[in-house]
Amino acid sequence: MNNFDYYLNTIGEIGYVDQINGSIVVVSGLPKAGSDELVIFESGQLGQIFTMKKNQLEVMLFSKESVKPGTKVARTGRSLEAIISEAMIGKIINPLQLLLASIDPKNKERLYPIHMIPKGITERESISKPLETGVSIVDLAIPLAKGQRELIIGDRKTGKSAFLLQTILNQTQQGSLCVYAAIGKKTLEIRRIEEFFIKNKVTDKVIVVASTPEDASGIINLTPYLAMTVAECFRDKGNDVLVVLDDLTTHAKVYREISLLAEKFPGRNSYPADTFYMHAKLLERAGNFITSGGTYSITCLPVAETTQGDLSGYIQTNLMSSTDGHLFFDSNLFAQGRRPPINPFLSVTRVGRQTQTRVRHDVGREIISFLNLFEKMQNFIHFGAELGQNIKTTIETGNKLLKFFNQPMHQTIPTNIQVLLFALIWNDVWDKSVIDDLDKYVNLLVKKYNTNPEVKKRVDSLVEKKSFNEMLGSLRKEYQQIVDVA
Amino acid sequence: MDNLSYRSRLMSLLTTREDVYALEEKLENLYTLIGKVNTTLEPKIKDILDYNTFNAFLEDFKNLRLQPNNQTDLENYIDFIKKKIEKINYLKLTLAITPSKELIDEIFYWINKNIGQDVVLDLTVDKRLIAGSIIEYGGRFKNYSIQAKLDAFWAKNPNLI
Repeated sequence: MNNFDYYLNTIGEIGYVDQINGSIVVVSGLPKAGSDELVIFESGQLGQIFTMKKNQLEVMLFSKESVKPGTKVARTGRSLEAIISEAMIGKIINPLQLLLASIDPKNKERLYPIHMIPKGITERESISKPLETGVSIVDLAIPLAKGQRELIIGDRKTGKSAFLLQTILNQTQQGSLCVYAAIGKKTLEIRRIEEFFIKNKVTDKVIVVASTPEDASGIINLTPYLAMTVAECFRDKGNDVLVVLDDLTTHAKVYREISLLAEKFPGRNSYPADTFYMHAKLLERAGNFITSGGTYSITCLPVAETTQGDLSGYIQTNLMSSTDGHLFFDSNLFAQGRRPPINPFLSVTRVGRQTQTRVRHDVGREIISFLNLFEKMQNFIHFGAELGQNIKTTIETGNKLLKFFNQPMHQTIPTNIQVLLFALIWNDVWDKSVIDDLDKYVNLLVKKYNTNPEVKKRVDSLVEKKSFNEMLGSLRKEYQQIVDVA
Repeated sequence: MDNLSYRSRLMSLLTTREDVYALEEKLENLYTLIGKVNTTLEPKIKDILDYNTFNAFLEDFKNLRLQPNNQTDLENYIDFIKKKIEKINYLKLTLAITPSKELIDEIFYWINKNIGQDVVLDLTVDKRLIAGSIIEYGGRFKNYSIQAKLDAFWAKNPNLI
């Protein structure tokens, strides 16, 4: 007996396909069907009840193959659920496979609802732990925290995915589990991401939930929700989880397509009226939670694409208001060769600073105010007038800092090393020869930090002073000791 | 003709979906009579409809106070019957055997008495059921066939095969 016959005989209700509008199928019958219920077609395809009208149901199809008019439909009596297990770690998961497995009547494993109501305030705790991305400009100037939702926003091909992969790399090395949701991404891009994880040997800490443009719109729409469900399952098992949703502008477009086919009234830019709700209910599932095993977090990094740097788009502003800050990837900075091209003046972090130590807080403040000054100083150069010594020093320091912030894709730097490096540049400890060959010295220092416990101990002790000024006071002497030990 | 609640004598003759299709065909033939000038309609209607249907037709015209030879009345009546046909509820019955006329009438009588007078049978024969029937009505589905019981038995006891 196949699944369709099983549910038809068990539930005892039948419907028939009347009309097909792309990925929306109009079905009559099924008198006791509920909203968002999963239905199964005689041909084996799955769908979800999207709209309920007086005598008809609109079902969102989960397969690319269409159904024929007159096809029988049966209710399953359940909402969207998935089987989530440790076996998923290191694999690329397609949402349709999970759905098909979940409706098998012989399945005895626990099922997790894909659409969950976010936990309430009593089950959450204040965010207190920093999230290290390994990227200096973010960790020092625009810090993130575990449980935060930080929007990654910018034009296409500005290095957003590269930054996310760097962050995943760093977080997996620190023991967090990462869930990467590739929403409507090309197969080639998904393969590249998979190869990156394999090459950097982090597949034991990563799950990829992927859908391609060839998948049905219903499946693409489901991808981020499934990724969040996976994150919640592993959070409950005692892991801090990082979720990357790449990208939600594609998700919004797919949802718009489905809603227009279902003849929902179009709103701004033809998006349906519940677009904000659709993303907000997803992002609210991230945070810092109190579980039976302790406090664990789900940090969410949703991605949004802009066109020509326009941050005032509908989806972009929706996401900015649903998140705890955003990192703006500026295409002008990208064109100037900055990597990552994060604009610190247009980026915001609302929660990350409260998790920083005193020293890092001071460093972040210094960087932002200095970069502000540096930006203004740059304008003086254009006049061609003779520059005073102060201005020259500022510009020189600024250029050194920019060089420091330029980070190759595969390089992640521990936060304490970042602080030390900044202090060394800020206090002019390093001479010009070191600055010219900065990458080499940075790599060396990172390697020594990661492999030599004595170096690590001394660096940590130097960085964890009461204030940045106190750290600068003993910098030269203590740095010399670190060099001697290394 | 706004009186859709009128219980048409013609509609009461419909037992199965085949009867409905046949009636629809006859209605299309009746439609061809409309627009013909200098024509007495009643003999032509008698030619198109069979004996029972024609008598039911005349009874409806009498109850509704219509004139069979009036083209406007005929057109309105045909539209009225078509609207009635659209509102028919079908009870889909799948049997393992080809039913006799007496069996169909018995089943139809039971349906009329227990479900209502706007229900028509949609009969299908599927020998794979072995015995019993499958009933579908109003979106509800009940499988009372031997095939379903056997499938459930084999699903529970796969080792016996």
